[in-house]
Amino acid sequence: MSVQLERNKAAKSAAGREITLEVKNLKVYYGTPTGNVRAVDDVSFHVYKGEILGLVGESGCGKTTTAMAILRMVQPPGRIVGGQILLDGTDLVVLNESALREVRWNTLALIPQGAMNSLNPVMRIHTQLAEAIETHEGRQSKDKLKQRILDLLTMVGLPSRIYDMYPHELSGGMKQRVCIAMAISLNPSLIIADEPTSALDVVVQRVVGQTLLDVKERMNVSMILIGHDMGLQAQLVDRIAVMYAGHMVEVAPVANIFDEPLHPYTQLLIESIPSIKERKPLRLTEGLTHDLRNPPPGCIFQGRCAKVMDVCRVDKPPLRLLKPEHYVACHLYE
Amino acid sequence: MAEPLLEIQNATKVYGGTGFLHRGKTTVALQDFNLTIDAKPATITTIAGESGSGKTTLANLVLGFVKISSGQVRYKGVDVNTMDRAQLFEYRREVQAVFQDPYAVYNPFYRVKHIFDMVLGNFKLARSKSAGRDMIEEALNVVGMRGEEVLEKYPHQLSGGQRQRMMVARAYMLKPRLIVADEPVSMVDASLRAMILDIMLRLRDQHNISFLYITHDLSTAYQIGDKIHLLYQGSVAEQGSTVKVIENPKHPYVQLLINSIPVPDPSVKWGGEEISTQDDEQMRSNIASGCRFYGRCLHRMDRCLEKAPPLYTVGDSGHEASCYLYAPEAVKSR
Amino acid sequence: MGGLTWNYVLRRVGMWFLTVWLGTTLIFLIPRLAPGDPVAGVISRLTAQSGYVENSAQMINAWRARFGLDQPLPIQYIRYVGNSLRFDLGYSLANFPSRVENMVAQALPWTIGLLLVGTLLSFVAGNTIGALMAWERTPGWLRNLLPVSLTFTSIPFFMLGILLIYLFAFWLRVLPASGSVGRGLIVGMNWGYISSILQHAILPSAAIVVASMGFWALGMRGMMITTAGEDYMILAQAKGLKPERIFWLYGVRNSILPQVTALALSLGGIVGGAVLVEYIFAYPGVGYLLYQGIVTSDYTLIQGIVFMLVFTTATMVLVLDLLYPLIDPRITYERG
Repeated sequence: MSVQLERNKAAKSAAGREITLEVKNLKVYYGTPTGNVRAVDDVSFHVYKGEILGLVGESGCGKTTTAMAILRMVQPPGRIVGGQILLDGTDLVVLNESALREVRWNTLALIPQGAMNSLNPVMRIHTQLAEAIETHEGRQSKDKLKQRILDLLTMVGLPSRIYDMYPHELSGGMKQRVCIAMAISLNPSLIIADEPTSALDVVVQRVVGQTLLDVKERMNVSMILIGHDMGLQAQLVDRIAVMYAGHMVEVAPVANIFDEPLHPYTQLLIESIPSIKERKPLRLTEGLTHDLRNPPPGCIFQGRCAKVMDVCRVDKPPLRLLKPEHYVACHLYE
Repeated sequence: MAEPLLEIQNATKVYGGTGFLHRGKTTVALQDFNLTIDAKPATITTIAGESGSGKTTLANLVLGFVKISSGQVRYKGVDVNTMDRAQLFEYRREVQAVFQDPYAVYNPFYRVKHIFDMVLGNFKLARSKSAGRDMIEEALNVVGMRGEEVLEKYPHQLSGGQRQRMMVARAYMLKPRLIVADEPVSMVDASLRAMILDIMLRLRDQHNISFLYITHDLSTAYQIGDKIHLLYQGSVAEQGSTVKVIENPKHPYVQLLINSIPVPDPSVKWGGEEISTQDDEQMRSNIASGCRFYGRCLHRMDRCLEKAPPLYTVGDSGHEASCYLYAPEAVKSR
Repeated sequence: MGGLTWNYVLRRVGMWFLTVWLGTTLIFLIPRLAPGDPVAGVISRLTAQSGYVENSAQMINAWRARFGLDQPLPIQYIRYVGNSLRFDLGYSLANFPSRVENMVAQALPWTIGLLLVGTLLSFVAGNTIGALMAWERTPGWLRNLLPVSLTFTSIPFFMLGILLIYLFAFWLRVLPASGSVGRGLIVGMNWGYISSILQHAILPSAAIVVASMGFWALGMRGMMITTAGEDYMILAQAKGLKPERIFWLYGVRNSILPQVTALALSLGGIVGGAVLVEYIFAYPGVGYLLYQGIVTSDYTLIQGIVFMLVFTTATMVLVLDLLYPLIDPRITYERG
């Protein structure tokens, strides 16, 4: 069955740039015996065409859940309980399963986290690339398909000899580049890269990072790069979205985030990056993240915030536009 | 001169090559490694390297998990391999370990308290129950926790940072002289990482506990480490004082490594020479003799293939690099 | 990767020899460690049957010489190993002068036919049931039905056999209750003979399938659940692959690998027969033969059957080792 996607190319932001993905008021809850865990609570952001948006936060902040929600792959007991996910104007939240299968990979691709285990161990590299193509474009002529796969491998800097290999014969960095080649095989609008370099050595990480940048430049594709390594984010992304405890606390161009982070949590993130340029005293923070089942009234970060005020314990600060392209959810800037 | 606390001489570990009907390939995981940790003052000695560098093998040798192939590990002047029962018991108490995954070491069926009770029982530390409770409380206070908060909980109810601090507390309770910390912060969030590093510093300065800090992350080593040994495929590439080595690396591999660490500043682009997209993991260990970095090295010479370079002095306070660029005759002719 | 290397084959064949040799040695040693004299045992049974045996001491000695038991142990051992490797399994103690290898050779085709078919059917059915039980897209009614089919597994083997015989042979009278083929048929490739064999095989093989498929199903279900948590399953779903393709090529294909190992081992064991099944259905296979051997204290027969078991199991493992790299590319011939 084929479903026509309404490609609403007219979606434009105030700045006049074309928007590829727009997430509006997304809520993802996990049902547990003692109540719902609000893993993603009323999160909104967008991704422009041809940019890399960094999605950062500590483990459990909801960044991977957000990515899985965009792919409509939240595993039970998790479920999307509200919001819209507009990809090229189509709301993914309401799509039925077969329509969803067509969106997947055609328009929306994934570069997964586990570089080591993301490829089927019993299938050759070319088979895994070919099935992505043939599932969506139908049977292809053998020669054409082979040439196309070899071109994809070349594009991510892999030698053609790996065409016939099995995943276990490749190094971690090569496997991750196979995943990148697979992700761009159908020329999608958006690629979600979930910590694509987290298991790799630094030198390899740099190679994979440069491959990602290269691919983005050449194909003008949009990407969401999920990660916790702020150094890597600084090198790769155009804008950064900071999540904390299921909430979006700040979204800004990468230079703003590093030069003048506004939200106290972003400030903490920036300050706790270990440097190799200067040896400085460690900065410690106290306090704990609250229980996601019972969020207190007011700001989500009040328990750990050094600048907490009375209003923070009562009112939840909304995400507001403070400067061009710079959004922050904090009472300090009212 | 006083007896050093730990002395490793020409430690070599070869895997494989033994066993009936199984004469397979051998892998040299660690080759002729030397290290001395003085009894006083306590220090943090970093063993750094990427995957396959032999750093974990070294940790396992010190902890007695694997048998040394040749060379010696001496603790307070006694070869660990020839210790009698009493000496071994003391060694096991005074040399403690903290591992990467703070979840895997807990038995999920027991409350956290069980871990501490086991230690008290095994090493007969406390004369009475109340003395035991006091010891546990003191150990938890050192890592900034309180018994009532955590002891009755199950491991999964604690955060990663809490679990890791608990492991440090457990180690501390035994009044060790040396803690082998194998990637203790690589699975902990950035903002909590500082807390654990700070605990390490306090244990060193206030409790005279030395650390063997095993890591792939040069930036945290740079923040807290005293001496560093950088391994590449089982051999030392460069060693010396941490600050000197990282601020002024000499070995081409270490230079590549430090250049590859992403700088957390969007205006500074990934430094150093453009690296080839050839996958470095593939180019490893194709060399039978000579320098193992030959395949990736930009400064390689013919003599690098003949024989592995020894350690040459490249700076003061024991800064050495294993590279022919720094052979006395090479330096003179420049 | 590469083809079969000589080094690998030699090592595997070496392991095969080692296993068979160790097995043979154990078979030789264990009866000799046990107290009592098998020949004296046979004679005393004769005595018990006929009241008196003339010159029993002489007879014992004659028999001992006949079976080589008068020789010193090392000589017995060397002869035993040599004979075994030539499949010369000696005379049956209870059915002298029948030779053990002939008795086994007569029983073996029945057992292999019955158990090979039974085991393969059970493997296919069990794994399919197990895989479907773990698949989230399995229809609800089927998902509820599948565990019910496995409850038969918990019924003891012999009870199940008796139940089947009662239902189909005595009550419905559609299938024969025992034996492997009807009497008075012309032996050969004619329809009457073959259909009789098939009819006789249905009940015992059904008993085997029903009783053992739960083993496969539970193993497969566990493996499928483990596989479902693998990272490549997430990528497969994100790729928009058809659920059926993910199920077969990602789920089942990866989960089946350890099951195949278990299958090879159980195929190696089938020459030992399913003693209970063959006994209940009076099916003239190796299991039935083994049962008779035990009942009549026929040591040489028991030894011969156990030797066949060791031999075929080791051979199946060897074959599996040589074939395994074909189904799991991660295992290479070089590394062994």
